[in-house]
Amino acid sequence: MTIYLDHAASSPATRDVLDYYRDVSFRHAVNPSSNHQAGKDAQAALAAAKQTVLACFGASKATLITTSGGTEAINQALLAYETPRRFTPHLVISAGEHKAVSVVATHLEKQGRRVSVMPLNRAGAPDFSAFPLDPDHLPTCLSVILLSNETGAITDIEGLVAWRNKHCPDAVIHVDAVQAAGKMAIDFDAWGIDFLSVSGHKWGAPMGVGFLLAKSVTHLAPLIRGAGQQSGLRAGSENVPLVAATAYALQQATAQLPDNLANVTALKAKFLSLLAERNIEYRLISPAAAAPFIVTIAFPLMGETLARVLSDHGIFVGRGAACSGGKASQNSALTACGVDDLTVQRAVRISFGKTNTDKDMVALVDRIEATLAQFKTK
Amino acid sequence: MTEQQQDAHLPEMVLVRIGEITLKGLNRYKFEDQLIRNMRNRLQAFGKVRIHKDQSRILVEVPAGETTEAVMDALKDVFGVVSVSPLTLLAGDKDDLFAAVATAFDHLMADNKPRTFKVETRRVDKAFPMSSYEVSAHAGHLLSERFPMLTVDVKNPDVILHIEIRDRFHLYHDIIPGPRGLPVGMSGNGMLLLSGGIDSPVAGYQMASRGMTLESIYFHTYPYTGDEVLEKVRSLAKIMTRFTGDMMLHVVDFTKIQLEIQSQCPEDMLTIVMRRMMMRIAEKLAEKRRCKSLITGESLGQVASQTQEALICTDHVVSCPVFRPLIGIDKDDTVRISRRIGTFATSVLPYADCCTVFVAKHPKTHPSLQAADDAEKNLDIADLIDYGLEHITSERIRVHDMMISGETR
Repeated sequence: MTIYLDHAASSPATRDVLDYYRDVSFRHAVNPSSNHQAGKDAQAALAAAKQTVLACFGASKATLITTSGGTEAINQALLAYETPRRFTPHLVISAGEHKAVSVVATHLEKQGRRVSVMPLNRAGAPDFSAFPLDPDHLPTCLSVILLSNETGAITDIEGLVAWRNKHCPDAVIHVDAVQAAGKMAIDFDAWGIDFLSVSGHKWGAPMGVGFLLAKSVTHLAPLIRGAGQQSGLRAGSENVPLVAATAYALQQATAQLPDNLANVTALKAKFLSLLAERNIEYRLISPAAAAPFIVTIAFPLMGETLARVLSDHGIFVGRGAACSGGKASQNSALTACGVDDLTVQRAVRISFGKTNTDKDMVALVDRIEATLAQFKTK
Repeated sequence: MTEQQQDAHLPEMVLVRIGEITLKGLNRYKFEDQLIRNMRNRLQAFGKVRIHKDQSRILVEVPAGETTEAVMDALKDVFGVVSVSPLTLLAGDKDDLFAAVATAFDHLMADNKPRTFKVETRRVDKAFPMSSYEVSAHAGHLLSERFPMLTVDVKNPDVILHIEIRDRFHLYHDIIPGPRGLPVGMSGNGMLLLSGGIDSPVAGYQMASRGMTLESIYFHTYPYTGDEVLEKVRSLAKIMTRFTGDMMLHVVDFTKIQLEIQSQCPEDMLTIVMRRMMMRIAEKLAEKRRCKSLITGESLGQVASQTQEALICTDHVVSCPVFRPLIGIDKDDTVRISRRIGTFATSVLPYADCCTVFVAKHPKTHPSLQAADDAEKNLDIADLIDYGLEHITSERIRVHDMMISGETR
């Protein structure tokens, strides 16, 4: 038996979701853009699934663009948003963004776009109040991660929107909710944000589909051109069964949000109390206010080494941050919120999901204890 | 031409020049035979290949169905080879010769368009009715006529057409430099301490260039270093086989020894003790494998374990010679060689190896022998060496594997 504790990387689809996918595949084995009745039926199923997704994110007024995943959704929002002519484009991202955002920002910067980085506060969230505003170059687009994939830190979106409304009301807000979706409530319309990127496999859908929610598509150009599907915003035949299964899984996840949160909160508490009980030396990197789904933690051993040994024993956890030749990756959100290099190198990321149990926590702590006894470094 | 050889299908040839070997006096045939064996090793994938010795050069027949380029590519990295050229071999009389001469540059003029040229003729067959000078002059005239933009420059030409008049005519103009050096196999066997870094493959390359047959030893510290590092070392060894020929790779499971060093030795001496343990195990393995020396990629002062004092400490624990071909070489030059031989891109893949995982914050840079010996006083050295020798996995890295898997530089 293996114990999967890498739900932040991907949350496996259940048999129920896969059965649903298969059923829809048989039922609508046609192109939804076809004009015959079978095509129209598929299109109706697709539209219903999209409505479900919008409803789950409280986005009844938004436009939904289906993409190949979170990265494409983010690229669509950041690369293909055309700033209105009266403004000079100025993209502001936080120091804790995923590479899907930060690398796009670097790319834009190389092309001459003004790009700024908002620092993180001690709790690992974007600190917009500390961002120096230049009245001559107000931000035109803000991109923040809702739930940090590295620390679990949560961005105060309502606070950010209020700050935007006060200081730079013309800026659009893109929220990278890839890690958050399916784990916490998202209220797109009420929050007053402009774009939201999500990815299905993070909430238990099969891999290969993501969505960009847009309040308005007026200034959005297509990233992928072709036969004009999705109102010309994203060409390519739409995958009806995949989108339907993704909506189905999202509906389940949304219904289970409170239960799942309670379960995961208990798992995290159990895990930390077991570590304390056994007198295991550790340093919790995830901030206290972080979502309990992601526990980034350092033990007195290289994170890479610990993760490797756990993997050899069938326990799958994530690495805290990419390690390059012994040096911590420059882009790490951990470094951005003030964690020292050694701790970054020792970090592992343990991320819980609904399949995990207390027994898993005991097995995990047993194995960590044994590994430290055997391989702990000075 | 002493006799007319009307063979319409003379095979394409690759002309291989050998340099230093020709100075080897009475042993020369040994060097040549070894070089030819090494060439056959690189040409394994081509099936049976005919190779002829011809005074100070070697002629390789391009097998039917293969291209001259493929054969040259396989041979241009064999140590002992000074250069290779595609060779046109002709039978016939002087009319046949000049017909071939006139079209010799057709390909070249389409591709790189030289502007100046020269013809050099060697007449070995003194019965040929024209002198060398007359042949060159007439050939130059023909080529100038065919390509009016091409002018003769005898001092610094862009291209030289070589005509040799032997029992047959030899024509060539393209000379691709080889790695020079001595054929691998002529200088005994050595054990290379191979890590995943930039230096050790270059050190191995340098020793192989002087004719040494290499085996390599890598110390694996799983789980501190992952299997991806072992794969990286294998890839480096595979790239090296282009130059070294088939090579044994010995992988020592070093983790237990490393942990013992960690727990028993002072922190500032960890690297020195680790290096000393590696040298001891490498030497014992070298003895078993009939290798007479150890080879490392160390360069004076590059890191804490490569100061003169640190090297004295590591040398002290072995009695065989330790060759360090990079000892006085600047890192930039090592990188340049590494890029040229194709190991660089693999060497810089970002995986931690044992040298980066187990380093003290402030290692001792100028340890005394006494300090090194003292640092080891709690270790059961003989026992650890035995453990290391008992936990070695060996594999043969073959030139051929690289060709099959399509990995090239």
